[in-house]
Amino acid sequence: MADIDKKARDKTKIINIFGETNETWRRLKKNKTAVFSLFVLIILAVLGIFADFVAPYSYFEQNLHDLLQAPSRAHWLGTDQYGRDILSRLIYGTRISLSVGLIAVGLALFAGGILGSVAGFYGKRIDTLIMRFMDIMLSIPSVLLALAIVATFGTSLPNLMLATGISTVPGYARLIRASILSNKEHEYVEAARAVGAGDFEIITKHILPNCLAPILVQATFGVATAILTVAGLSFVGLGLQPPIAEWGSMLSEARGYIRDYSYMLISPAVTIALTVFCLNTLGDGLRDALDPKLRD
Amino acid sequence: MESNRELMKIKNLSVSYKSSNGTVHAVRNLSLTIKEGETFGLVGETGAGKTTAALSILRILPEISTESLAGQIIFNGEDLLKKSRKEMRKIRGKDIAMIFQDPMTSLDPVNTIGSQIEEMIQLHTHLTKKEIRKAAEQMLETVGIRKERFSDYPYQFSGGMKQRVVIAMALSCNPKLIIADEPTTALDVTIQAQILELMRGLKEKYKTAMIMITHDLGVVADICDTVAIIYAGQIVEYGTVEEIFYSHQHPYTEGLFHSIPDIDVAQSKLKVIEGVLPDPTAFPSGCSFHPRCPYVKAKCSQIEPDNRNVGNNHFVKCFRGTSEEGCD
Repeated sequence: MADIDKKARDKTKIINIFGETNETWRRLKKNKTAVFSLFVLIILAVLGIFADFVAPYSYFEQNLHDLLQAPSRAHWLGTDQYGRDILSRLIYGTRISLSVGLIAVGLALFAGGILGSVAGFYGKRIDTLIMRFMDIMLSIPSVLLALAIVATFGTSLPNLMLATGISTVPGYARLIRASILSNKEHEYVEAARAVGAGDFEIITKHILPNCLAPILVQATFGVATAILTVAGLSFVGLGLQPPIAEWGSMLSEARGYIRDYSYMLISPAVTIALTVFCLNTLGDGLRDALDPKLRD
Repeated sequence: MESNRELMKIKNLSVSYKSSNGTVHAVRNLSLTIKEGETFGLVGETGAGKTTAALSILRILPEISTESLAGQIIFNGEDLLKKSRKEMRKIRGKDIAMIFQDPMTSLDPVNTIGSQIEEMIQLHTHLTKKEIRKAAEQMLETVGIRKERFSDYPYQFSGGMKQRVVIAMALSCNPKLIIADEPTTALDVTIQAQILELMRGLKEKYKTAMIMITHDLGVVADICDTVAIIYAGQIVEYGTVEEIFYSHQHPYTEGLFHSIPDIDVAQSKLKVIEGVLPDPTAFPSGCSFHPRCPYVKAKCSQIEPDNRNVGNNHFVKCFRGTSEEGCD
């Protein structure tokens, strides 16, 4: 009897640990496209992380015997104008694109999170000050800003991350400010204050976790945008410099061979499109799964 | 259980809010004394200023709309209104805890109830993580929740259970005073009785004083020692629970008692106090209650009555029954 009781308790405990998260996952699972996207993204991430072991060839070693080969058994996606294996370059490129995407969004979230939280929570003059500054930033075209940063500080990986991240800061700041504004009037915030919690605890422990859903969704879309921005920067020659493999720069290099060797252009283009598509559908799926109004 | 030592003395507390229609005088010249271990009932209609008075004790009034906060709140010999923000944060939860009206919204939906109790203890003590966890679990058991439910989220509890959690939180640092803002209003009647019983038991166990804010005279009769009837931000009658129930003098108090249906008499219609609370941006001249008062005299609209002692510690803010009242 006691044993059964304990077993039942253990079972409920497992469910409880996941709580809300478990519920979200259950609903996300129903969305087949989102699950597929998540699956593809996980594969891409694994490929990127273990590129050194997975990639059949090196991404920078030139092989002048096998220039511009069409896809074959030895080179699944063919070779480029220096005889480098395109598949290997794509795999190494995954590493750059995904990490730039994630870190750029992370930076933007962090900065936007702090600015938005402070503006939303304290209101009044500091809110006006921060948000008008954000408005000024919004008025600068994001690609232009990114170009300016990369052109000024040089084309290293950290600069690229900064350049792609910085122009999205105002978006996150506005989103988080709005979420904080709508959440800070809730009674549990007042209750937390009555307990003696300070502003920092109230924001980080009570308000932000409650507005996680829209932020998470926005961040997923943000990764897709960041990957596109980096590819765009690389395409115009301000991204990472050769021989580093990056999807955008691969496109750019392949441009000259589009007439006779179109496979060189197609594979990175499809990869970019697929990744962005998957991130967007995952974001969509997350939004539906996290929306309490769509709960069944 | 009730000692005679004063725990808190509020003197001439006045609170006003800014609004688009002008200044809202939510609390006006409110004075009261709470003794150690006493349960003090603050009774009035919605909008009378009860909650504002409670929030000003903890100094958690909404900052943006508060226009002025004046008077004195002497707690343990010190004026809370003169304390710095940092000092106030140490008092909130530790010396004075609050139980909010609606347990459905006063718990954070994304944190487990256990972690919310732990947060309270962690903010005010220097215990290790393990000790905090143990203390929090003990508090849960004290209010009648199995400690297996420590890691459950608020949505997994019923209203009554949530209010138990809130009470556990409030008591977890052994405060000297608990402010309970209509703790039973959001609950159904049977649960109300359970929660009141629990609060009474715990109050006696921990010897905590309590301010019970309510509009339910049944709750007052059940649990309070001293009662203040508040109307339009002012205390209109103040006395022990017996004095208020058996020899109330203010027409408003009388109206409140009349509006309780009598179980022994067949009634088809509830007796109500005619009219509504006055506009808090522009109170009527003289006595604030005079437009609704069934005994109104010419004088009432001109001069504001003083607090008049009618018993040892029983006062009324009304001219009725004095020689000044004028001829009928």
